Amino acid sequence: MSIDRIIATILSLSGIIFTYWFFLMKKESNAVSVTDHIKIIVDGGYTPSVIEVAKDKATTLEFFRKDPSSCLEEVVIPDFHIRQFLPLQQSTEITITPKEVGEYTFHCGMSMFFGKIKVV
Amino acid sequence: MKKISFPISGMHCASCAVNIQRKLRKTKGVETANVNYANEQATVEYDDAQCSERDVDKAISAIGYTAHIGAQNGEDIIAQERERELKELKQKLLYSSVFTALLLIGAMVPFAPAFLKNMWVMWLLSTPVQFWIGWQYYRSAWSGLKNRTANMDTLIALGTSVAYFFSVISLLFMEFFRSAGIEVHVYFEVSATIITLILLGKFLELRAKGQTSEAIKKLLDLQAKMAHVIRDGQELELPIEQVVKGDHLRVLPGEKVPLDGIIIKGETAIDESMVTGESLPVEKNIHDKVIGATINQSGVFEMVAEKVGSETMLAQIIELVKQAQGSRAPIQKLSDTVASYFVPAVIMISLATFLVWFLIGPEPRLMHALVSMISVLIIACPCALGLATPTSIMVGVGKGAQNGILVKDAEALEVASKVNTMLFDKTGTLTEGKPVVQERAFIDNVDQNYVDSLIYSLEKNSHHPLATAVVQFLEKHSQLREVQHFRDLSGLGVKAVIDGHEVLIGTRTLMEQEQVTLSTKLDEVAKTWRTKAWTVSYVAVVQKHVALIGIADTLKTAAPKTIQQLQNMGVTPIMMTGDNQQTALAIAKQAGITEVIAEVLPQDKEAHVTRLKKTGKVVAMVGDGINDAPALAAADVGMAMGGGTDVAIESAGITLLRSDIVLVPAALQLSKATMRNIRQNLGWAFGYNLVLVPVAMGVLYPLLHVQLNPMLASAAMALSSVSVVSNALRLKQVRLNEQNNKKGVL
Repeated sequence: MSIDRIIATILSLSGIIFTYWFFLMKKESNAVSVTDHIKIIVDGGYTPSVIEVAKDKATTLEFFRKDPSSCLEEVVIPDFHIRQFLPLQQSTEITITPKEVGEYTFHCGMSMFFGKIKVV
Repeated sequence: MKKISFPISGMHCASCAVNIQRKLRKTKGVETANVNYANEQATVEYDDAQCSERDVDKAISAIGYTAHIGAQNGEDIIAQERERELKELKQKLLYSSVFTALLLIGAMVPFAPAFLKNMWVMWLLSTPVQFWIGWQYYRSAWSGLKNRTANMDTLIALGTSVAYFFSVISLLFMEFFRSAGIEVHVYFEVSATIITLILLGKFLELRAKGQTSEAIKKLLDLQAKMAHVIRDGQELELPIEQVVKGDHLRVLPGEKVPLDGIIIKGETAIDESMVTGESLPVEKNIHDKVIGATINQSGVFEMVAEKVGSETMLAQIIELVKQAQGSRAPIQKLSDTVASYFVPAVIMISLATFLVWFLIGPEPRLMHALVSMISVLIIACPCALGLATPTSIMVGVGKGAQNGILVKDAEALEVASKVNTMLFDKTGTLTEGKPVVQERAFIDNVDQNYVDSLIYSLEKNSHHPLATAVVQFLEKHSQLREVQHFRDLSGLGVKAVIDGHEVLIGTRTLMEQEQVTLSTKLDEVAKTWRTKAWTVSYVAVVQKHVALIGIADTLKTAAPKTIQQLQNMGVTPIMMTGDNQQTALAIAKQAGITEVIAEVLPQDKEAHVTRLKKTGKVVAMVGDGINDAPALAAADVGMAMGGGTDVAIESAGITLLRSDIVLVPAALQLSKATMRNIRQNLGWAFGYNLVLVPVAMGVLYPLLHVQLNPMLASAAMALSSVSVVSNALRLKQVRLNEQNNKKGVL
């Protein structure tokens, strides 16, 4: 095999392995415990992306959207029947009162960016 | 003088409102100030020479509250944001198109001016497209990378960067490549075209997406803005936010009813079509309920406001629609899972594509490998997958709300499309729910008009539902006579003296008790009426049986046709009632229903639903939502038939806003149409990626020797999400409730 083919093989395979590791082997970040209010930054995803809230307690999630990409213009919390438009560079507050313990995902309008609400 | 209304937050009791009001009134330039604790609204009138919105804001924050001056409702913010975004996109699209057109002319038109064919000029033209117009893709990709996530923008940034930077390197080191015997090419026009076409796709998609949430905006626009409030005998014109519970309101013909309430003076006809979908105007008299946002057509009336703010029917409908649009349909699960792995998978596929072409592809290998890799990155469209289900749900739920069908969540809509058995509660659902006089019979040689006025005068004194039915039937053509010694013989009937004659109306048992001589002829008639499930009232004058009145809760006129329609849709209708078997069968026969569950106690309805479900049937239960709540909740889909102003029927998956049975098949049609639309969208989104990604990889090359041009890939990609959204918008055109709509327009 010629040298250029060897180099291309090494580079492509490393790229594939890197992509797999970088995007798909990402560990879930530690849950941030919320007492009654938390600010979640919307910029290429949600920061923090995993939050822990108490059962039967009203918790306000303040989404601040910095990312102009229209992918992130909506946040959806399907188990709570919420689909909320997030105006750019503004805070939008969503209050939830979870009735059951469990894990609930929230995501962007196109289901590509995810976050998690752990109810304890 | 200027008047403003705005919400205030931070109040926790009525005295807070008083404090704010006092503070505002002391503020220089403020003429009047009203703060309403109930709906957290303030209205301030001030002299704008001496005072400003900022002064008002300052005064309120000085005592620890927050004024939201200029705050609008959420829908306005969304509309403004969309408008801004569209305007920005349009401008970018314009510049981008100019640069791209010049690049394409240079690259493709043989007789184009020489300077356009100059590679350095091409570099110059493509750079602003790549980094100014395309900046948003880099920014979004970078934000995602920081969180180790990727989206469509990552793919576009990657694809166009490969094309652009490869071209720059080729241009700068062209001599070096040539001396090494490597044939190179520049792709400036490719990167610019991709960016422009994808921008165009985004523009079209955004414009279409604005229409998917139109239903909410239309509902919000229904709200009346002002009301004529009568306080201390004076009529004031106030913004709707300032009306409180118990306020007396005057409504003029042609105006919108401001809020939900009860008529206390006057009568009118009201057009309720905008809320319940009822096409005919509804007659309203004193003590009748009126719904806010409906239109008063004929008379002037006064009403008491009973529900304000978020309690009104309209506000509840809007809330319910919003919640349903935010819910997830089970069918979405697969596409959601795929969407979350999609982008990394495409990046890996593109790298593999590059490698295969480079290793075993024809010469020039590098060019072929690059072109295929870019095509793969550009053609993959995760957005179409993500949009497929929610957009159809949004349009479908909105369409329902406009037709008086409120869907609680996407799951209810999905399950409703699979229903094959439908249980109907009889009273109020299949029947009108109130007794109506069907027929009268008299003995021979009697003055029927005179007997009618005796019956009318006597029944007018009773409050029994059957008596009310008789009064309603006779009032137009009977004379009212003086009634003496009226007695209500509980459970049996009524008795009184009119014109000196003793008049008796009631059951056969009452006649026997009072030793009335029964007419054999009329008694025979009574027997046949009973077989039709009618209630029979006997009338006697001076102990002589003179007449019979047959009363029944009649079948809704639309019931037989509706049942037929459901059967045509493959649904088995079953009637459930507390009536005895004979009565139940009589009614069911009229409706065209063959399966009947009779003599059911209210508490057993739920058990029957569960039993049917256990046999593997997908069961819908149609009831009034009040007595049937447990049965509605137990069914796969509960359909509550409203008619009142209470729409928040928790136990029902679908709430029908008017007591009209034709809404039942309409709801099924809506759900079937929505699910069909979702399947089309998913089919398109999955099919698109499954077919075109391999084509972009070059699977057709060994066979046909064709390779996909990345510019064509970007055109396909630009059209894929907009076609999903446009397909969802077709749901708006679906005709509900037409027999010939088996396949409908969809």
